[in-house]
Amino acid sequence: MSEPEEISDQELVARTQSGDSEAFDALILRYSPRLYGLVYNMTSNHEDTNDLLQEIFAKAFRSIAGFRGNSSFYTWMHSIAVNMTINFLKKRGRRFTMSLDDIDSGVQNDREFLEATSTSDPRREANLTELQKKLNEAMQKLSNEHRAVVTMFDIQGMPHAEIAKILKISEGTVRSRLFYAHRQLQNSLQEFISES
Amino acid sequence: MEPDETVSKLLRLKRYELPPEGYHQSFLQEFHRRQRSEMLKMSPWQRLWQSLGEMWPNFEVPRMAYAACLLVAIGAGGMILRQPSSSPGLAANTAPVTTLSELNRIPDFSLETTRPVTIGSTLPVSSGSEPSRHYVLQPRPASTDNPLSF
Repeated sequence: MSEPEEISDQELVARTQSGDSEAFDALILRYSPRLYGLVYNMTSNHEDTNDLLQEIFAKAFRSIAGFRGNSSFYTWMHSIAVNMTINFLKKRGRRFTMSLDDIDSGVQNDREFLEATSTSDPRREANLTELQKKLNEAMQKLSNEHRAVVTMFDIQGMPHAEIAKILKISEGTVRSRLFYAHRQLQNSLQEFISES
Repeated sequence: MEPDETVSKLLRLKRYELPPEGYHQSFLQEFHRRQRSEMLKMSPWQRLWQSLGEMWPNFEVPRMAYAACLLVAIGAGGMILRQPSSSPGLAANTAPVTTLSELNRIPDFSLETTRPVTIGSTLPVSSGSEPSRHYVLQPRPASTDNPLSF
């Protein structure tokens, strides 16, 4: 298989549509890290993220024949991921209320995470686990729609316009959802904000 | 630092929450494995449908196709209900009627040709000494009175 980065999404999509399944493999390898972040930060659970991501790519594979290129593949793929994740969260919400144990905190040992969060303040470092837990808790308190916007804007660094296209809402709505979500997060993370 | 900035900064930390190394490669293998097992689970109809889909990858069900099918079904149902009851199936079980005149034709009947009616098949009802009697229906009614008036 040739280097996926050298070939454009458009080319890979065209190849997949003409029956080259390896081209779709290249798209999976290209998009799975980014979509993993999106789904994980919306579900806060690695197992759910893994299953959901499999379903997302399976759906994309089944539907790619109908992809006309009206939007970019990036937008199309993210739309599928966000919609499927929100549907999943709605079902999960009906099934049970998440307990704190359901929120994954297995990444606090991640080397990059530790490096990125280490500061000169030893107390802050000691509270790393607590911070990560609080962040996840605060995110879970947001509605699914607000969490999606926060994930895409604050965590993934997407511009407002791109988020608006993915969610099929106006940029104004994206901004207002962000404003409201940030205010909620400020309340939830009060203790960390006052320390900084 | 503004609280909003702090929130954004804290949220950016979540970018470092990554799956274990090599996850994405094994994810692809898992994807292939699931696809194969899904293929095995598929019913023959589903496989046929998928094969058809692969033959015409650009085929899409037109937007109004379902509505059109529904209208055709309603129309066909209406036509069937409006048809007369003498369907070909019923006609096969009844005597064939070719013309209206045949339907209206009354069999010829003449009072003149009427024969006396006897009770019993051959022998008249009588005692041994009495002469044999025949009960004969008159060619014309004996009275014009209503037979039910006494």
